[in-house]
Amino acid sequence: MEDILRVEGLSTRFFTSDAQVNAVESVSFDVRAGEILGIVGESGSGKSVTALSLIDLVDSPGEVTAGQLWLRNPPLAESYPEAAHEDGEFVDLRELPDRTRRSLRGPTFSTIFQDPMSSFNPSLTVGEQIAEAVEVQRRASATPRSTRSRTDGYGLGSYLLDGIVPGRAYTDDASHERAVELLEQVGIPDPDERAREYPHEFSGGMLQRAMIAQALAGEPDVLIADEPTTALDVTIQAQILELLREIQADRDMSVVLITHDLGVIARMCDRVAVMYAGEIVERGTLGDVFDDPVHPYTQGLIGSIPDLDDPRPRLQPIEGNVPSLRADEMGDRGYFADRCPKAMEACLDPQTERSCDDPEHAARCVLADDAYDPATALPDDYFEEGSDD
Amino acid sequence: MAPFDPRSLYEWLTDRVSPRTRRNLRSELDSSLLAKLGVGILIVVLVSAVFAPLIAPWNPTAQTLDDKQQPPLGFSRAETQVSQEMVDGEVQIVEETEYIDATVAHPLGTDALGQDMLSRVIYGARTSLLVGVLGTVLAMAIGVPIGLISGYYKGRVDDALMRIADVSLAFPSLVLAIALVGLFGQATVNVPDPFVTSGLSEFLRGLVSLPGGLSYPPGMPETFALPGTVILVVGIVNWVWFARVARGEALGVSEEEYVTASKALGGSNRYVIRRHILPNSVTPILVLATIQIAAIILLESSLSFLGFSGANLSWGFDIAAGREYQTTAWWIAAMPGLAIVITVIGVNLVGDWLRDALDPSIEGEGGGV
Amino acid sequence: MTERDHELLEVSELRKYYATDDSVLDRLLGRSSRSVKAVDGVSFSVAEGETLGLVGESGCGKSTTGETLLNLTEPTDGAVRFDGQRLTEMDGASLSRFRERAQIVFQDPFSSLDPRMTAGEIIAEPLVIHDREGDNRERAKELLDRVGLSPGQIDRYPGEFSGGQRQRIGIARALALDPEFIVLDEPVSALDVSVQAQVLNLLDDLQTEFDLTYLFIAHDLSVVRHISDRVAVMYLGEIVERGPVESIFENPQHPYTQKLLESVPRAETGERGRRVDALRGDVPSPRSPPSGCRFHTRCPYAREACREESPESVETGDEGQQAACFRAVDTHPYWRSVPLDHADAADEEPTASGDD
Repeated sequence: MEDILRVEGLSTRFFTSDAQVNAVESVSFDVRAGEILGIVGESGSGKSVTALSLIDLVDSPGEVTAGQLWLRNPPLAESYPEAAHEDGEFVDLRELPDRTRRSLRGPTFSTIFQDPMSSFNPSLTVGEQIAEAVEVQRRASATPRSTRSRTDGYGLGSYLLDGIVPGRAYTDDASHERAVELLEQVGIPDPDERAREYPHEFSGGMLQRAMIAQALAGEPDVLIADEPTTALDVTIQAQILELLREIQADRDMSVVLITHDLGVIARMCDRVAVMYAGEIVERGTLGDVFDDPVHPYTQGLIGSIPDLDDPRPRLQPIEGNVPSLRADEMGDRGYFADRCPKAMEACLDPQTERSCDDPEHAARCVLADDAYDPATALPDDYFEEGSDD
Repeated sequence: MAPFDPRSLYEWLTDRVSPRTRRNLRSELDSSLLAKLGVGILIVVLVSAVFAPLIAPWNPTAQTLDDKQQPPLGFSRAETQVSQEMVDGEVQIVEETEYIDATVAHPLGTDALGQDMLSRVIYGARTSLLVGVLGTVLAMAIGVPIGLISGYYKGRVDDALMRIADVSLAFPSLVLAIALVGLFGQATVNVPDPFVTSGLSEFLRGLVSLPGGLSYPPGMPETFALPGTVILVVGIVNWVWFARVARGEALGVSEEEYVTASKALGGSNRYVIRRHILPNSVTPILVLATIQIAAIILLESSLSFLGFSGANLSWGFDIAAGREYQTTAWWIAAMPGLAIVITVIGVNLVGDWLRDALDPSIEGEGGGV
Repeated sequence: MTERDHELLEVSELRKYYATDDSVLDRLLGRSSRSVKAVDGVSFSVAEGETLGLVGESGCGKSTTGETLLNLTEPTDGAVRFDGQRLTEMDGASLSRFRERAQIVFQDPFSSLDPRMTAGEIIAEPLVIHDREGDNRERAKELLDRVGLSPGQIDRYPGEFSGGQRQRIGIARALALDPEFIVLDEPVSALDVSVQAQVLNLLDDLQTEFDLTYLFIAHDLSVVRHISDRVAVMYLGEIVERGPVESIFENPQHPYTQKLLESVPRAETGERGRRVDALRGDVPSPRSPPSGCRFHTRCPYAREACREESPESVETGDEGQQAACFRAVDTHPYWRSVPLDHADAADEEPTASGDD
């Protein structure tokens, strides 16, 4: 399978008044055409910020500070030689003008978020909002790379006019029909009727379906799904996951699925990246990560989940808490060393990614190519002093 | 009277304020210029009010008609005297213009009765602050318990109490205040001034010698008129604001799980209100209190201005008195007016400082081991 | 019921209805309001020393059950007996005693601790309320240590702790009075997986050490399976199935339990590509629950009989297992009635249908 997106050394930082927070720290991975890539991590691991960095939606005081985001798009590479990779196939998204980059949202990248209720405008019907997304894409493809044409006739003046003159809407009938069609494709019964309803009349699961429909409006190459089922009950989650997989297979899209739930990862993904404290600590195929984890954090994460089919008497959690990611508290040391049951002296230095036997499988850990050496193990209380304040 | 030790009061106060809150108050004060300004203004006003007999250069009620309507420093006043004179058998109208200059003895000038404006402004701070603080305390004492009970118990209790509050809100506060003053009469309480009756002010003033051989004129008013009715009235007029804010807070806080947790532990309703609801509602109530102090100072001035107060040493009273001299001696009304504006600004700045410093969410979330 | 240990808690036909759309005007006019039947006739018991898992999706009434049986909200109907004594008949003194013996730990580690109290004050609060003798501060330190926090953190405020640490403080508070029974209302669902495992282990240890009885309320089936001895599954305010944990998870009888278990994604490689026949539709509103069996609108086995009649709980399958489903009774008229339109899982001759 060919790469569609290559992320190299992405770092995103937040600069608040009293601290610098290294939310994403030199992260590298690739997304291939037609695959589902899972990014898994606990809260504060930087997985959502990674996704937002891809589509340039990191809010101030956050900032992407380093790295390249190579997107396979030869026409763009031709138009912007200064941003193009030497092979002529890829462009670095960070080097593109903002307007061009924005125009990629929709036809190239689409996003669905955790909370569908706050992703829809409560005062517009669901159909109208999806039709808008369709319209934006239609206008964009009519005159590519022009933001103006996409929002043409959609300023404050026309908004006021809409209120007075009936039938002067931004969207037309064709877009509405397409919206109903999309709603039907995501399994919403009576789509014609539901399109005329407001978000609060939808249940959580139905609204999540509607958000997927909206994301599909631009026929994206990469769908970024940020915790798409976290707010949902388990039976509804099963429906949405099923839907996502069907859609992915039908359209041969790539999906970047971000979640904290290893079960969801196992059900959906081809390849997995595990994040901890802003770094990808391990990545590989589903089998590599679940059956043959190298990094003690991955092992700990898997050991923490009670198994539904085999209730072991005792869980094997990772001791300690997720670090704060503040630059002044983190220092330069290896981030996981203070919680790691196999911490050695070599772990005090920041770790780079090392590949394991399998070329797909890599871990940011000494253990990837060295065996555990009890002789250089750090004493249990090594990190204890000075941890207060 | 029991011996009073200011150190024990300080300890009592700091015991009630957690170290974290103290830290926040301090850092907010350090970082905000406006907060410093507000605290500075309040300290000046407070010191003037408490130590008025020691600071005021003149007895604020001593009338010296010879010195009436003296302008403040930097200004002068022209007084035209018209007289008729017989010149060569004809009556002529003669206009004589006399320029009256400011004197150091009355830096803010004198009023129509020759009373020293500076002394009156300093003494006026007493009335304003006392009415402002005591009125607010009274309004809080009525409003906060009602609001907390209303918001905590909800249902019928809430309906009943809030309907009463709505009705009180429907009256314009000044009209209600005037009606109440009419009902109660203009009762004032004459409080003896401890500095004067003990002879302390006389003694201290005798020690100070002013440049130019001037000495502090002796004699200060022995009693101080506390407008009791006004305090009662502003308390009754303003309790609704406290009730509404306290109710809103109690409604929110009582939904928090720690309130359920406390009930699950067997805490009585009274305990829960005192231990959880009140402390977690206190910040907006305190902020409201500062706004209310300012509002009540203004209300008191309005009442004095309209002549409903009974206090004769008050900023509002002086503004009213100065109204008819607006064209000839503007400072009679302007000086107390300026004092009101500055005090109200100071109180509001302190309110902003408290609001910013007492917000519990400003302490960082989690993360520490 | 078979021979069981001493039943510490018995709940029978517990109901909790919430009035809605109840404005002042409605009340004045004496209009009757529509009610939400959050809990509608729930019965179960918890034996001394065991953990009963109460599981269900959001809005099924499991948390309301927990709060109602501790008398934190007044039940609309039904009886709760604690150690043989009816809660509604308790006087002040015995209610206070009950509050010492039965505790609760909440889901949200952020809102369940008063932000203006220190960790020490929070943990000592029950001791203050019940006027316990002795050094509260020492006891608080002891408890902090027991739940895995450093006693040196006693003067810190909740804002200075992480979610997992806050949950430990909540547990320490519940332990302060040496209770016998603790309602754990989704105690780990707000926590990250690695922290969740720490807290589950802690709860396990505490149960052994202090002979605690747990009512463990959760939506996460893996967690419930891990910690429970017996399980009750709730759907729309009713218990649809209950029994020993192995029976429920290995041999579920009620179609809802079966579908629920099928829906859970397993964290293992075999999960990829597992065919999940997801339960269709949404949970109906508890304001107007469906007639008959409340699950019939989503049930793949629903027949006409399910729409008309509400099933009773019957013994089925394994010992001590009860399900509220007609399919558990071989002779029920259900078997002769017509399948409903959406019911596609014809069990006698299974077909591969299931797609829309």
